[in-house]
Amino acid sequence: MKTTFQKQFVTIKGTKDGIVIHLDDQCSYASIVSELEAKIAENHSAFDEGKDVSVRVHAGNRYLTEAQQEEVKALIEHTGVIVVDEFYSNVMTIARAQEEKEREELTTYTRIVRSGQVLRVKGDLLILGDVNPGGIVEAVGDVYILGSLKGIAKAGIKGNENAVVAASVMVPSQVKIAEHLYLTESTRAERAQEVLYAEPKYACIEHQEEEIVFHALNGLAAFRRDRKNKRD
Amino acid sequence: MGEAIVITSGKGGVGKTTTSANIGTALALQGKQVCLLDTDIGLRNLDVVMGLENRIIYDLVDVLEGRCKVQQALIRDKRFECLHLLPAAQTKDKSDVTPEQMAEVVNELKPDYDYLIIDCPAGIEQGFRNAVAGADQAIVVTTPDTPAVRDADRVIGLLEQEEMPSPKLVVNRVRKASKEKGDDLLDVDDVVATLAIDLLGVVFEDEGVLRASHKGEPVATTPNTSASLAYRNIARRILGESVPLLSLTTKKSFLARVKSLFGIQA
Repeated sequence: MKTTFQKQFVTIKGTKDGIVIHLDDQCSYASIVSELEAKIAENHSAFDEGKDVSVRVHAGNRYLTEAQQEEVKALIEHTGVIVVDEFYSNVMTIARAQEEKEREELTTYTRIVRSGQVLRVKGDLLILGDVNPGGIVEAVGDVYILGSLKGIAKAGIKGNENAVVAASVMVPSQVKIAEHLYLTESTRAERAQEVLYAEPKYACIEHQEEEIVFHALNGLAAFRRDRKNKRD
Repeated sequence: MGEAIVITSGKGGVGKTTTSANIGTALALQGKQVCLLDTDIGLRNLDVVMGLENRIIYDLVDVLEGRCKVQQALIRDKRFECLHLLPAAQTKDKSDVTPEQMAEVVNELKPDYDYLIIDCPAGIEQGFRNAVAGADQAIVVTTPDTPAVRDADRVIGLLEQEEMPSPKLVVNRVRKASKEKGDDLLDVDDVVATLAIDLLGVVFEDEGVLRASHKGEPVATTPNTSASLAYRNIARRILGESVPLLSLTTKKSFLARVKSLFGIQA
């Protein structure tokens, strides 16, 4: 057993969730790289050959750039049996934080979205009012409309297939979620006569059928819970 | 200081010019000082509807380009002392005028009148921007059909970006029969529900309006037609009176109502 008090920059710990590699956040990045190289070489025999082990890398209060993450990952995976599952760090860049904030943000818009108007937000969108025919609303996240959706609503415009479009009254001309499009098949005259759904509904992608379906709004709570669990 | 009201619609042919002429006339009938401004440069016809086309000497573009004073271009209506018209130019184009110039003319005229009624051209381009530039208020005219309502919606969206109160709505050429026959034209309630702005008035389809435009005498001057009454009611609402809307049912005679009670076709 080693009894030196020299601080280790790289420590490998087994936890109940698997192996975690802690990287010291006070030393230079170069020392981490050299120690990691040494450690991997030294312990190479310890890793069971043939069976993949996934590890998590915890960088503490150090910010690792994309390139650095790649380098660390390559060093660790050099063994051939270890796979880096994820990187974790206590810090992130301001740009990234802002992006995340925008993604989480709910923008409220209290007016009617009229013909020819386009409303686009980075997070979720809540409209207190109608979306009239010819009006377009777009969100990176979800779209919620407390009113009639008569125009076009697009949710998950950056490709999020778990986004939803919810409205008190559904008479949409189009609903788009990620790349899936719902086109109404009724004529305008038919739509004027009867709405698609007069009660609150939400539209989402049904994964078995790969198409947009409408569900009663009281099911949205369960849908969002499932979605959150999937993400975590 | 007068109030400048722009009459607009987006779509053509829904009755902007007729509405401008008749609201102006009806306000003049109430004894207000009114100036009508035609901004449809190149396609003027407010002067024709008013029956004043023969008396045009100078026009809006002459004023803007400094060839005359604004007072020289104004045409006084023979029927009403207090009703004037500033005609648009017929030989020029809408792009010959800028919104700033229009606002200047409107502001120059405002102190002399109670109301300035600005007749806007169809469309949402330069002509629309010119017409809206000097206005304090807007009235959106639409007919009860989907294309007109769609365009009105677009125009209301544009007007909401201007610094003015929410526009008021006039639904024109409403057919009395449409509701009873149960055909699928929009009714006034559908239009108001979609556009969600205050309803200023409803004008029923009336052949008298067409005949009046042909003769050059706004229908508001004739006493007995429903359109005339509708325009005069609109004017009274602009003046702040609360006048109930003309409804379809009250137009029926007592006998007709009794008949319909027993299911007999009148």
